[in-house]
Amino acid sequence: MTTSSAAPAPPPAGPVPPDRPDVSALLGDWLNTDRGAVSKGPLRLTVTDGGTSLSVRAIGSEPLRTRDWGEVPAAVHTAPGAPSVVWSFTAVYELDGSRTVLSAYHKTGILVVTASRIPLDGERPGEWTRSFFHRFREGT
Amino acid sequence: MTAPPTDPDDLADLTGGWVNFDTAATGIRSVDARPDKGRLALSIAEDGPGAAGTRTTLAATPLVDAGGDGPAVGFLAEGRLGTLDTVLCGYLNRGLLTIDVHTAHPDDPRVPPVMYRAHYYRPGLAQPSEPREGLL
Repeated sequence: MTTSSAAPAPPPAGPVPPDRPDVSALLGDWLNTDRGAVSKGPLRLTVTDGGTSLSVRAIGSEPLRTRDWGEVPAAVHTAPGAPSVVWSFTAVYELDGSRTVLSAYHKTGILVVTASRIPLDGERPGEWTRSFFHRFREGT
Repeated sequence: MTAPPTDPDDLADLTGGWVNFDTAATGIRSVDARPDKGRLALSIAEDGPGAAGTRTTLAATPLVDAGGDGPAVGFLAEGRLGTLDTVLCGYLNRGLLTIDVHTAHPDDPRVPPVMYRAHYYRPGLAQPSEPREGLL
């Protein structure tokens, strides 16, 4: 056997380290099933794996248009007794004087998302929505 | 967090005592919710290792249905339960109070962050005859 280089070998590709829970159930593009007609919550979510953490990008609905809420880090959660699999995340947005907490969990192929929006000016009530998301596919 | 005071009448559907009908579950066993200057004060009793008999009070922001001016249908509470940072997303669901409980240990990464869902009924009213785990 010969070697042609003294360069360090690249890190081996392989499965996710066992001490890191599997986040794959949450990853991808998700579309609100009602397209914003009822729920008033986000229209679309994109969940990406940054290697050490998850990020969430949300597209929100506003009258007559959509709006990119931007990308924020997400805190992930496992189910009790199942620390190897992530099934839930929370993410916080601060937009236009409101703080919105997204709380999501994955079940039977659906992402269920609760959005709690709390205005910081104290002049409007906080609002709550619960929406269901399915995976985005081209042509959807 | 800041939100305008909510009329106690608009909190009526959320206030009172709520009990987890899953008696075998650990975690939050019961919640007593009462109006507190337009918000909700949650008195939370937990079961589980190291938590049996403990009771903690958290302030919660009442939430109405988006786009509506009706009564509060949910709440958001953030704070510490025992040693855990906790986010509670509660909402009324077919006569039950459902709470999505998110916990994380702020200092010990060996403790996995956990989310569980629990369903609570009002004692004295008709108790659900079977678990509602099938509910999304």
